[in-house]
Amino acid sequence: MKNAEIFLFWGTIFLYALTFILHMIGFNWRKIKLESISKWILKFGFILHTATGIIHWISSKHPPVTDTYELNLTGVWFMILIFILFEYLGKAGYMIGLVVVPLSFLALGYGYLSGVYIKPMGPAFQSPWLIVHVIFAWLAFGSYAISTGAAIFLLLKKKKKASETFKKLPSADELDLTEYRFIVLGFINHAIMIVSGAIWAKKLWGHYWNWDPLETWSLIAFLFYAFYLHARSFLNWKMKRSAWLAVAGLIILAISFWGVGLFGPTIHPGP
Amino acid sequence: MRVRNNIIWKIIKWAGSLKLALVLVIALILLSFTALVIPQQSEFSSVDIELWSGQNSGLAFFSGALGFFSVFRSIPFLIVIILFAVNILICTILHLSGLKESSNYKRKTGIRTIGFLLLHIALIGILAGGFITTALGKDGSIILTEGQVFANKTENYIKFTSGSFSSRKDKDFRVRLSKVKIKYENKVIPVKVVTTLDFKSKTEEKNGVDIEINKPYSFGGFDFTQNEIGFSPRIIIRDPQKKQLMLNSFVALKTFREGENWQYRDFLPLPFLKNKVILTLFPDHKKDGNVITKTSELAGQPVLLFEERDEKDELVSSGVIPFRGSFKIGDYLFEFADLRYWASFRVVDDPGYIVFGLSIWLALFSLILRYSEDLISLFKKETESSSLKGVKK
Repeated sequence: MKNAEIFLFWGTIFLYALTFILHMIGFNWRKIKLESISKWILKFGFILHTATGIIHWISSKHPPVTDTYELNLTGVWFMILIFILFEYLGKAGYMIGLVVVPLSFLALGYGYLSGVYIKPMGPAFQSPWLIVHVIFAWLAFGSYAISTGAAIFLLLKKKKKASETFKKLPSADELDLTEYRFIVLGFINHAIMIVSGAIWAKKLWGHYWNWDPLETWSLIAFLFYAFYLHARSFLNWKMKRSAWLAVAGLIILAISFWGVGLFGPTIHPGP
Repeated sequence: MRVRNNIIWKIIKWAGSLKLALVLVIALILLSFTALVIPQQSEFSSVDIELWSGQNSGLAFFSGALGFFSVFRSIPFLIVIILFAVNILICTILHLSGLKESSNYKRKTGIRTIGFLLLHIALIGILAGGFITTALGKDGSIILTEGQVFANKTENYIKFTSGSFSSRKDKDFRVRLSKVKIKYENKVIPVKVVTTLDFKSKTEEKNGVDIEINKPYSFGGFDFTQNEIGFSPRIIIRDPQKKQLMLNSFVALKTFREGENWQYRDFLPLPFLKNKVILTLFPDHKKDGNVITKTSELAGQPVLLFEERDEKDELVSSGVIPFRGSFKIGDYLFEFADLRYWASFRVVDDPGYIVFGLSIWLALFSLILRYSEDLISLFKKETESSSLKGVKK
């Protein structure tokens, strides 16, 4: 079972990497066919990714949401899922995949390097709130990643010496709207993640909020995005200003996901 | 309006401004950084903090003065939180009353306005709930070995913090840990830990209450949540020459987790010995020559490894004591008389939890209400003519 999982996992990584390379070439040299091939490869990679998760779930007898490898495996699955879904709905331009896909295989690689283990679920994880907490954490990250993708392309388009490729991107207004909408979606998912985490923490540790470093960083990211939404509504911060905020927001969120453990002890295991 | 030009109006406007909100967010980020850099009382022992203070005397002085060894209970942090509450409150009132000239905010529909209002009320509720708990609550940790009784007195807690306005008088109750049951998978990984407790106060008595991780129990206004578990060997030390009993006690060994490799060890402070003694427990073992290997987390054939180390941490002597056996170190006879589990519990009095709990649900509901229009539009399929369908050809 473990060999099959490893094979599928590397297959997923390979296909996501291939998606990125073909997409990059297609995007840069205007090869429309290559872009559409990369779309299909991404979907095929997603199927392999799903199979990897299912095999791991069967082997460990619990949803893959407990250790670093499992969290990154599941998290990236949700990221790709919402990208494929919203790309289909026409709400996220396919070029945003140039930001989302490399982020995905980097996260998968990081998870893999932490070690692949099949072990039972410890008592602390045996809570229905775990699933809610983890799923919404990654839906939030995925939404913010799409938003950041739109923000990056907006910034590239707005550059004074923007190349022809970037000039042909969707209009700045549309990119700006995409960035805003996905921050709204991410913000709501982020809120559900924090609320579910707080309810779980009350049962597990006795307090809704424990000021653990990871909790605190997640709150900082949440407040930052709250500031983004307020600045947009009340200060009319749009286009380049809000795009820079979106990029900074994802960096803060990435610290809360992967960086907090580097600073010191935390009772809250993170991805 | 003339009133809008006076100083009070300017202060009110500033207190409800986004600029202040940004300053407060930055202050929160800096305080959180501080909590990452300076060892926190909630995470480190007082010995570790003293060690750190010795190495960073300048920083330690400021940290002590500002209360930064417990950042999230410090005065600067409380000021930031209170300012946040004031900022949100004033901002909400100004926007809803139409007194604030907001360039871009338009109340398009009733749902959005209701969402906005409820969300900000909920945020104030969250801050109020947190403030009530911080000011009036109590938070302690206890460790009990099977059979041991805890009497609720501040000095009996291992760690204890209480709010500045909480009652100084301890509620009179007792807790006894009667049993710990652990279910292991493959004899190694615990998958279920059940602790059975007996509670007694002047007015109430509850016996045989099972507590599990994620399943707390409330008694006498306190929530009991189960945390760590470990082993507590009973050590008896005698001086055979003087025929004197030097120690007869259960020693709760620390549990160190390195992945799946759990270790149970601690150092035994013995005032009558010059060197320090380190105890390591193997709940079940196999012996290969002089090498002892742990074979299971279940107590089968337990042994205690005694190590006597000098000031330079060099090994002076060591020995292995089987269960109910003894070993001589220097002039003293060490006996491994019994083995029980210990369990630690967090004992929390959280008076703000109802306000906080209701507010987080209200916040979530109103947030969805506030952005319902954006969410609905996000899930509608875009027409083929949208340039977001792909890069323009």
